[in-house]
Amino acid sequence: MSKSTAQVLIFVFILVTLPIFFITIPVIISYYNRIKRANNNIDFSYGGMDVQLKKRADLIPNLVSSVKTIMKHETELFERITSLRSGIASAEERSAERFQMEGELSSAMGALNVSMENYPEIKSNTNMLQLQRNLTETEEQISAARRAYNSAVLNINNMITTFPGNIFGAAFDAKEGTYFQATEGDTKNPNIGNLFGV
Amino acid sequence: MEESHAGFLQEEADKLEKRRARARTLQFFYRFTVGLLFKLLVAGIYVGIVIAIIFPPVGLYVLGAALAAFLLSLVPVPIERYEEYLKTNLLPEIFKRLYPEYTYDPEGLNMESIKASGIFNSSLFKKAERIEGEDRVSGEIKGVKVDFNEVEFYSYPINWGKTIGFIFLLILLLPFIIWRLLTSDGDMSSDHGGSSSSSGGLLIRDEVKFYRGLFLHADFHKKFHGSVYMMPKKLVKYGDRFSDEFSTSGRPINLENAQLNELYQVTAPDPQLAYYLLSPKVLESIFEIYQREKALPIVILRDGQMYMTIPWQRDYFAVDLRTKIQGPEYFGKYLSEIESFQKIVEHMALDTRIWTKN
Repeated sequence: MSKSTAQVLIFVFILVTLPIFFITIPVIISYYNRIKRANNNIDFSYGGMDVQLKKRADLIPNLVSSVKTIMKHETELFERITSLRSGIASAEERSAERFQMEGELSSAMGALNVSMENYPEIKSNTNMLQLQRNLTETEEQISAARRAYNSAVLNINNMITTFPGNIFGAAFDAKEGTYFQATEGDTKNPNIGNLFGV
Repeated sequence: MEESHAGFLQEEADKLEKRRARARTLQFFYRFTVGLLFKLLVAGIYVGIVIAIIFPPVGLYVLGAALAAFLLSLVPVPIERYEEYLKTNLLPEIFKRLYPEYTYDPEGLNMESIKASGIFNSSLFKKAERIEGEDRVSGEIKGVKVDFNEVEFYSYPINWGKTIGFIFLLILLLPFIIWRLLTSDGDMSSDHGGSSSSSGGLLIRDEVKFYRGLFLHADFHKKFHGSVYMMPKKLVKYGDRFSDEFSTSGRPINLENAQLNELYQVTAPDPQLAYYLLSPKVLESIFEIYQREKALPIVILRDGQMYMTIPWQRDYFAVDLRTKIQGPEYFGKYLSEIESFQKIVEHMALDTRIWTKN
């Protein structure tokens, strides 16, 4: 091989490999970082939501034990709440099953709130009202945390299910997130007027 | 409407109609006498100043004209007197009788809240040489403390075009000025010294109203710390006017409402805080305000308070001399404006205080 041919070959080699250094590698790094950041966001949002879900789980026994003696006709509802609470404790984190149960628990708590309307002795008890207040506030926080979590999930799902993100997603072992769907109770505004005769 | 209120409004309508009819006639004469004469005098003064440079005795006429213009400016403008009566006498009385929960101040300005809101850029306050407030309504709407007022920011930038034109005119007249200086017996020197000492007076400034809108401050029904910004996307480019904290206030937040997402850029230090405050109901309310008022409010939720401004030219409680006041119905537009304040608060669901903040 002549010197000039070798020089041409080296030039072609540089020309072919140059984009790898200046385009391909930065693109790979960028996708890697974006996926990592999106995953971190999910973890962060989930952490915030988990705190609120646990707070609710801690409030439930107090509420149930306080109203159980008064609301004697709601045995079925109390059983459902207790069973959902223990089911959630044993469910796998971030699983669709857990989110389903959390959603059902929100609905059950909403139903309990509505039922309490029929018991004037509850409505006149300030401790009970305080407990209910905490629960309603926690439900609002859960709703906000759920929306933040779903937004983070949407972000990573959009990233790794569209081209070329799907290739990088598969390469970096990124998994689609599970949405925490709102239950019917979450999307309705609480009718506080009815609850307290305001 | 209660009978006593209807009677009160009828009485006030009769009184106001007499004032309106008189103000309308006076305004007509004012425009063609005092108003016209004043404009002619001002024009004459400008021309006189230029001529006086060449022919100083004209300066005496200029002084006379300036004095006459000053005296004419003291003549009250009928429409302004009418507006003053409406805003300082009648509207406060209407508020007192019909809406005792509010107080009305025709020239009030909630400066403290405007500054605390962070809506306006800090450099804007430096730039604004005059900030005016109008039609301040404060009080409680269903237990929520609210404060509304119209706000206007003015600056007086140098109009370089006019300034250069004026200087050019002076340069053109310079030979005459020099000639007058050389040929005068000394009287001119004092005049010349007076004009040169006020070199700042050579700069011609324009009055620029760079912001006008409704400003609202309300106690938000949730206790929180931090700031959530909702800035209309079309206003983000006006970084020199609105919040300088907006771009650095945190992470961008995606709203579930696709239409609002198109219209707004939302930032918050923590997405959970943003979603907690911007509940679906609040977002729905902001969208309803947009649809009803055809204007996008800038919303900032900060440390338990809500601040909102709607940039628009709408003038609340504006006077109208042409419409005959036939009865209490005339006040309908004013009452509907008061109620539109209420609607904004109700739309924001601030009255749905689920619980107290504590």
